[in-house]
Amino acid sequence: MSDTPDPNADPLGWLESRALWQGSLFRSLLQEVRAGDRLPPGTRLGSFRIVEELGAGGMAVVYRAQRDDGQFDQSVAIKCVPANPSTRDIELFQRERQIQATLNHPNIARLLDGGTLDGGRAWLAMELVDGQHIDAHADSNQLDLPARVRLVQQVIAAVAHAHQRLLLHRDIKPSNVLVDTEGRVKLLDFGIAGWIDESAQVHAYSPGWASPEQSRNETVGPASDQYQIGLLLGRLIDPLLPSTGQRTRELRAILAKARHDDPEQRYHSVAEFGAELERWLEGLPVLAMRGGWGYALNCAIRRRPWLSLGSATAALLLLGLLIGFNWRLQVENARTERAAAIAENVNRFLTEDLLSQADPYNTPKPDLSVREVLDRARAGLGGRFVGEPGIEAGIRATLARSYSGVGEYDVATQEYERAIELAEAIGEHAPDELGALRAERADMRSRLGDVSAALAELKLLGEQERARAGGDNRLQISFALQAIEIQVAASQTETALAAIALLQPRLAILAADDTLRIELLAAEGEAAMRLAKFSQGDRALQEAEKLAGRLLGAESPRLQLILQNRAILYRQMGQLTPALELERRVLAWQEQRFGRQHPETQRTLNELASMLQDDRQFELAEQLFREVLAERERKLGVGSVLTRNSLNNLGLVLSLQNKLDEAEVHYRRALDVERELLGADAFDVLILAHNLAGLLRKRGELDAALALSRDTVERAERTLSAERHEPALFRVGLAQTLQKLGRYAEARVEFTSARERLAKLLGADHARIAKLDEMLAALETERLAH
Amino acid sequence: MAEVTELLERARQGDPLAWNQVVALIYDDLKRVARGVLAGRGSATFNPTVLVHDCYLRLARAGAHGVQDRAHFMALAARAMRQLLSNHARDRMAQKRGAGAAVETLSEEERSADLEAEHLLGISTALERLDAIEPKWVQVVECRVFAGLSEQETADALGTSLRTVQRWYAEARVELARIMAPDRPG
Repeated sequence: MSDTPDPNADPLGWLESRALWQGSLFRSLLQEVRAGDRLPPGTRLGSFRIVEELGAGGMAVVYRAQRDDGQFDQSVAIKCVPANPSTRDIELFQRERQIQATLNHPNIARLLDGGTLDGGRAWLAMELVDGQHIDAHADSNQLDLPARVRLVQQVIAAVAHAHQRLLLHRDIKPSNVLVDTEGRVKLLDFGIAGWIDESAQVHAYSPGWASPEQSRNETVGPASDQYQIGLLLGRLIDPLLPSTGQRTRELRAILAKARHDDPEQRYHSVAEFGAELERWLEGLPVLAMRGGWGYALNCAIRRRPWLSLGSATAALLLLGLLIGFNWRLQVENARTERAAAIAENVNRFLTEDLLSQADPYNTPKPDLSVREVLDRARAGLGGRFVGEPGIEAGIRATLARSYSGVGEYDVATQEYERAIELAEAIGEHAPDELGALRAERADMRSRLGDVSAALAELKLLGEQERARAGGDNRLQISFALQAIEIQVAASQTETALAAIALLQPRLAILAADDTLRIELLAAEGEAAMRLAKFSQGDRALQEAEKLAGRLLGAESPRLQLILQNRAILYRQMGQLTPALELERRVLAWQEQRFGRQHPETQRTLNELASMLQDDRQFELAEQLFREVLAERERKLGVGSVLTRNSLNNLGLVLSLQNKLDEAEVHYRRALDVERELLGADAFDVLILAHNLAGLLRKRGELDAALALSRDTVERAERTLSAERHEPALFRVGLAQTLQKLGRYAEARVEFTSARERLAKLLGADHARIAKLDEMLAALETERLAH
Repeated sequence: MAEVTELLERARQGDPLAWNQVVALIYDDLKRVARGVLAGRGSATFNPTVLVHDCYLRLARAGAHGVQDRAHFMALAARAMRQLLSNHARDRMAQKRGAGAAVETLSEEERSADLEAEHLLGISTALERLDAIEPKWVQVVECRVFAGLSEQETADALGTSLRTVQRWYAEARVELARIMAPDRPG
């Protein structure tokens, strides 16, 4: 203070200078004065008693207090208006009280009580949060990236709740976000919060945590809170974010959008910001990356095939097919700008019109079916791309594949026709893409029932391509592969295997890392498995596994599908130990990716339980079947086919353990529901009735078992095609009941009839025939003994 | 006579109870501004003028009215402010003497507060001597410095003319410096 006069030479000058009111002595007086403002421990406010001071915020001192009315033990935080408050203090305090009363959210500290002290000082009792600041919590618990994002999701939920009530927080920062001992986020301190529409805004903010508009002292809106949440998210994830990778790029794009300098460029709302993070957590395409090259493709691959967009299977196929489309464009046409523009337009249409509507977090109708989404997209297509036939062709092709994915082959065929027409007219499409479209249109024929027409068309396409290219090429092999897949699906398994063998010498033209090789091996494995050529199937699937692991990575979904097929193969071979091991690998992968409750994980659990049952590990199987049943009943209701299947499975494993009473309960429940839903002739109902009849037989209720078995056999013969082997199985059940009743001659007739049919369908050397011969022999022995 | 008017009158005449009530009024207002000033919020510069005026407004709501009440209050408030500051300075010095060796560890802020307390106590003692020579001089200093009143407001508070206030203040400046001059024996 060089400009301060010497107090001895010029005492009045010293008093007039800054020394008196801006000096340390006056501040020291104010501190002393202020200390007298505090509520000493033991002070009673309503039913609370002050325990200690927790801290002094900008507007008020906060104390820890204890409920003191003998009711129950509860620690609370008390905020008390200062003694002799200014008008502004009172306004702010009343505002906070009003705001807290408006809010009711699990992630916002609750207002518990309020009152006035004798001197007229108002106080609020708030939920006291026993926890750490959000950043300290994340670090001390070494939370991983997704867990940190989920924490921020809780903050967003709280802020979105406030925004819905037209309230802004305006001071979101780590010290205002606590995480309690149960991991629940609590947003604190609506001290400088305010209403969105109020004109007189409080401009106080915490340095380092202000949005650009706050720093500029401009009017702030909900986007400012979003910015601060963005800062918070950045603080939490920056130390953990790998420097590269798709997931990192996505998060960085999301952060950049939420923390955009221009509020207009941020997400439209914090709820949308939250939806975006949820998409990131789920591995869905994020909006912040929209338009990015090949982006939808990556997401689709990452998620395929275990999706949760409503009907999982349909969506799975839809997305799976979209991959194919993007992939072809990318590989074949990426070199030209023109093609890149087309691909980008198509991608945008996919993400905005298709995927975003099927996105459970971004749609007003969460149960919108894939079919409805497609219809909307198709209707919306109209004349939007007039003059852009290249783009329209791409979109129509995508629609065609999607419709095919949900089983609408007629509509799909129409869209294929249109896409091919457009593509041919402009002559812009790569031969691969056009050829693929034609092959897929051919495939529609097989789906509509005309397998031979589809195969003939594919053959013709192959020949045309050979003439055009003047020799063998990859496209011709892909046609051949498609024909093989059709044959496998149509049970022309021998032919398919022969075709695969014929294809082998031609594969030399494929690059060693061509993914077509994986598909061929997978098709061969499946075909061989169906023909019980187990060693061939095993070899093909093992090779497919190796190649998929090498080309797509050990964590790729494609690899998991191959592993599942390998498990099925081992199960059919009766080698349960490797089957169980493979199934458990798939289960671990799914659990880690989708969680235990995900429908696909549950399906695998069900499969695993069936294998355990085969392996006679009944208790473990029962336990898993029960888990799956409970989850499905909860999520899908008892009417769902999956739930009914679970009831049936549980019934079976119980009856195998001779827990017959309990088994019957589940069987009957399943049968009642099924009859009601599907009618008494439905295939599933017949299977159930057959199982129940077996149970009744075991319990010695032979007349009831006989009646049910006869009825089942009669219905099966009447409704099932001659190709099915199930009527024979039902007949075996009937025969067993007759045998128990001592009606040996009738039993013999039924056994023999069943054997005849099975031998015709499965071949005379099938394991089931041997088993039947054993049963017939036993019947003979028993008859003779009588 | 209104209650507040009576209170001010009694305080003027030296009733310690009434005087303490006036000091308490000022003290409450200091509490009110303390948070803001310490947090450095708003205009961080403290202005005693605003404080005494706000304080009078509260008093007016409680029944004070008229030119005379206002004048009396301003003079009293100025003295109360001086007393609060001087007492705090005295307390600090007393504490400092009791603290002994701990002096070494004081922060910059603490050290300068102690230095200011020393200066203020010196001036306060000088003001007491000045009061023995001419009480009006001290009253002018209190109004101008400790309550931040303008010359006119000081004239109103002391029931005299603007010119007189100017003259008294100039005289007080010279006399106070003379009293404090180091070559003069204390």
